Amino acid sequence: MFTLLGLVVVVFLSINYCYAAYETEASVKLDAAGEYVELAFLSVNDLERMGGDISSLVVDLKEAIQYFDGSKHALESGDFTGSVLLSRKAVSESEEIIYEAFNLKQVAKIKSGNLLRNQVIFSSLYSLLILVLGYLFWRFIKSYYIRQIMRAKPEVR
Amino acid sequence: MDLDDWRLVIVTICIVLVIIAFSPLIFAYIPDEGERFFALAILGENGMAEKYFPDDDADVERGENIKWMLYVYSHSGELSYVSIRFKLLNSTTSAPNSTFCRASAAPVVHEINTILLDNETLLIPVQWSLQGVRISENRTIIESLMFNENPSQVHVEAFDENSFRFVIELWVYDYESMEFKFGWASGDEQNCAWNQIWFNVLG
Repeated sequence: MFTLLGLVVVVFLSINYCYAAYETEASVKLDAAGEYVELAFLSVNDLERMGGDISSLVVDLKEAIQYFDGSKHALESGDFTGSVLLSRKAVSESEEIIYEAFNLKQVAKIKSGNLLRNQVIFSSLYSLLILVLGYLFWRFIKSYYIRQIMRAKPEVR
Repeated sequence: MDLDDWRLVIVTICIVLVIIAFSPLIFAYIPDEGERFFALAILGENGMAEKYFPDDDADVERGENIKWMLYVYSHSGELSYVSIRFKLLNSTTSAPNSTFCRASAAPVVHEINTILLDNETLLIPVQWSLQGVRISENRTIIESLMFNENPSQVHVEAFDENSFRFVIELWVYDYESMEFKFGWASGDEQNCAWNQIWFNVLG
């Protein structure tokens, strides 16, 4: 009788322990998913500040956030299996976003460097052209002015 | 005009044109000081500022489905990560403080996270219903509710009345501190956005 009672107590405690352990695991995975989603957002934000194209990444980021939200709600309602699954999806999606954002940042860096270089070259050439035309116009005005003065001089006989 | 006047005019025009030629480079390094702001509103089921409750009756019964539309707009100048937090309060619990941008101390009942592009507007459907309600002589207690098909344990009490309110707060992910904050910074100012809707609980 006591053996049976002891057995029941052990089984009950084991179930509770497993439940708590599984809940803890789901909670830890949810926290990790939250951090990954934040990192993904920061990566996309950085890319946007560098002038990169974030349109495709925004769609993926919204999906990652939906997985994260779903995982949180599943955990709150006691669906630990569902929560862990959705956390894994959020992490996986976020990792892809971070990787893609990194690649696009390299492209954006090169493009912005080229843009700056082209801007400097264009502005310099344009300024040089203005100065040259300005000098030529000044020369024209000066020679015209001198010709007008010479014409106005009376003939010396 | 004599020669000296012509020289002055030509030099002045050349200087102005050279500055114009370099202006794209100059403007690229001047930061945009436009005001950053967000807008948050709760609309009725049809996306308008009306019909928040069936038959415009704010007396809510247990199990009655209430549908709203959440309106969020961003004019932050960049991609933003926002968290819209729903809190259930009675009439005595402090609402958010707009002057100091302090959020309500009540716990979050439901949270919706999303991202917004600059100048993007989102309309998010929301629905909720009361599940666990206890009404005694001088107390009304909401034990649980269903929010967007997710159960939520709340335990909010109202004494000598049956009025409750949903407070909706807009939290914005702060790039510098890497965490969500209630409100956002715009220049030297701190601004925040929140809404509330009252309802009564029927037995």
